Amino acid sequence: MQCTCIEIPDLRLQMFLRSQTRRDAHPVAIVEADRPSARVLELNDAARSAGLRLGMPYTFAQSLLPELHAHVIPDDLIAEGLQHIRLRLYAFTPGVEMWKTQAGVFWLDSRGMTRVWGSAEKWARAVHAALAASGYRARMCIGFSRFGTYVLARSMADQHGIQVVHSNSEEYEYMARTDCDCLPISPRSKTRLRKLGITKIREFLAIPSSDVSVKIGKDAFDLHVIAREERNVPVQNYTPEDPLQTRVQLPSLRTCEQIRIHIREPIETLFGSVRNRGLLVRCLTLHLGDENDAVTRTDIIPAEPSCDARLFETLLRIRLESLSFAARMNTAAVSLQVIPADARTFALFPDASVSYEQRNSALALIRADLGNAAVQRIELCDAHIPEDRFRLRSLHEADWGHTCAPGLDRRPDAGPVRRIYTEPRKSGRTELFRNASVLFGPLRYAPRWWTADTQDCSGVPGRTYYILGHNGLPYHWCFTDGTHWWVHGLVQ
Amino acid sequence: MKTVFPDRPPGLVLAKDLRQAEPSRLHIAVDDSSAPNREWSLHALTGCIVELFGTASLTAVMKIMREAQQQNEAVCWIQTDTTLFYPPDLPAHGVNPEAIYLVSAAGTPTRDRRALYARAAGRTADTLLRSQAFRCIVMDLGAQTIRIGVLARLLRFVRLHGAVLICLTSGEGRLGSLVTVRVRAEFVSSRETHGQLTHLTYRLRAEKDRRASFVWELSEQCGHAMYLH
Repeated sequence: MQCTCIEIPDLRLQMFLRSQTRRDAHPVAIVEADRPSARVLELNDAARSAGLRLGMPYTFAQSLLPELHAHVIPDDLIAEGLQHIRLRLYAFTPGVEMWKTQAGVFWLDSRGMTRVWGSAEKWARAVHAALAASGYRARMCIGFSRFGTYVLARSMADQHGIQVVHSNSEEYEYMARTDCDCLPISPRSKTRLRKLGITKIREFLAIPSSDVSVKIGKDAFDLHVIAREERNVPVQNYTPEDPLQTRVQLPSLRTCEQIRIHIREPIETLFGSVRNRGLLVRCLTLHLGDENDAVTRTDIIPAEPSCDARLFETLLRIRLESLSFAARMNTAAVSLQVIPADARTFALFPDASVSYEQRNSALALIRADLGNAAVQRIELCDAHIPEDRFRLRSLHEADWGHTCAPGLDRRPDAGPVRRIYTEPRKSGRTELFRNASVLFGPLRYAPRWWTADTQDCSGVPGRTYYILGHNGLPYHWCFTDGTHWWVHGLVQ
Repeated sequence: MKTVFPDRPPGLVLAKDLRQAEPSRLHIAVDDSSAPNREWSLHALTGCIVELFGTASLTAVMKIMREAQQQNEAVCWIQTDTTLFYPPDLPAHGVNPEAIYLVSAAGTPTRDRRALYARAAGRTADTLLRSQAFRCIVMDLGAQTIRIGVLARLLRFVRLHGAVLICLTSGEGRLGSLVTVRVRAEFVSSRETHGQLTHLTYRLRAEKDRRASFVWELSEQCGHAMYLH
């Protein structure tokens, strides 16, 4: 068993009903918005038995059933409910994935649970009971692939229950025989499927992917991609999108040492939370607000993602010592950007050398001292103008390999090395040519010369480069744009 | 008999106890004593602070950087002003510019004076040397200098960890007496072939070398400016 799918049918309705103290059989509808023409999204049994159907406008539904109770569940409430369910599920497995396109569908990593619980069924019953205790009815299927378990869970006759399949082939057989009506696609796509004579999942999977989008619909295409490709994809553990954060009120502090002492404990608490969730911190952001309502922001990026609070405190201390505060600080907000920690990721790099770690630790200290943009790597580019032929990128933004690239072979005709100024320096022609002669040039750089109307590109704005020197020895690397002379660097 | 210093804090190493590390992967791999110019090579300069200046200083330092990269050692360049070597020129010298770690000590928000940049460069070099992860560190100081106390500390770490610290300066004697080798690199002559300047000769002249009782001089050749594009 690799994967377990949990589907909570009529999630909004269940969320609404569990918040109600009265459990009498009033007909209830969940509508998409608080307006008369809003569509009905979910109905309870009493409303269904009265003849109401999903998708009908609320006014029409109310005309059929005047005692209908309609409610709107806002998105933030749904997100809160999903978060609650997810945290509940973490008690049973370290891997929980939530399907973003279909609220109320979760996949659990159920590998190894047989050893812990005795059997997969026992574990599933415990999960099911936990959800029931939280007020949710759920359909569960224990199987091998995400799409297969989802289809089997969704096709269950009851609103709640547990299904177990024992082999890949068994799962595929059950899934292939299931009707396409259970797929979460729009009514329009379902109609098109029916017109094409596609009624079973087996037939749906047999359609070429390129045809699904054109002939059926985008939603069906997305589902088709998942069904065709995801067979070997393990459960993708939860990655929080919002950073963990805390806010501290400071008693008008001015020195970095005082600030550090006041924020140490909240940071440790945050890191404790990070460790408990099996996450790693890749960036700590500190916002310091002063008495003039100005905010100073600083990012601390370690050598590699870590959950070591001491490491971050050290880096933060170095960074704070390099800052000077003109006003007294009143507030401090700390937020952490986290990523999931997975031992399998680290196992991919068994040969990571100590030198690499040492190097990155040293560079992290330097970044903490001088700023994140202080450590850079060079990227050569294929461009025309000299200053565009390379680009400096911050180390933490660049995606370089772990090891140092080996050196190249020296070419026998390697010329001298130039020193380039970040900004060319304006100079006078007389001054440049006073004791110098042209050793090399002209070399014309005319950007986008092919867009000029004439064949002669001398009129196109551009640069003409020269290397000037004395007695055959080079010194200046300069250019003219037709009106002025500029020194772009030295030959050293 | 082991000498005990009761006043010494734990972990502190006295200067007299500092010695060259035992031959390791680094030192064995770079033993190129058979090379014709054994004074100017990564192996020969290991454990030294080198002050390099002159009109050909950038071209001269490329050889050391190439040797470091060929041995899979990390190279770090510390920049203290707004000038930089032109990266597209480096591959011809056998140096991979994309493998160089570039630390810009200039232009940090709270420091806008050059002397402070040099101080930051000294701190950076100290951190890099302590990490033992960088074998070759080039500090582009220009007209700036480093305090002698910082330089003494850097020298200790350079010796202890078998690294090379090359300081590019704008003039002679900027760094004082603590440097191990002080070298002037200058273009001295050019050669013409068929009316075109094709080759340049640059001379490395040691103005000071603590490793030997004599000063040395080397001549190297490279292509002329016609090979620059």
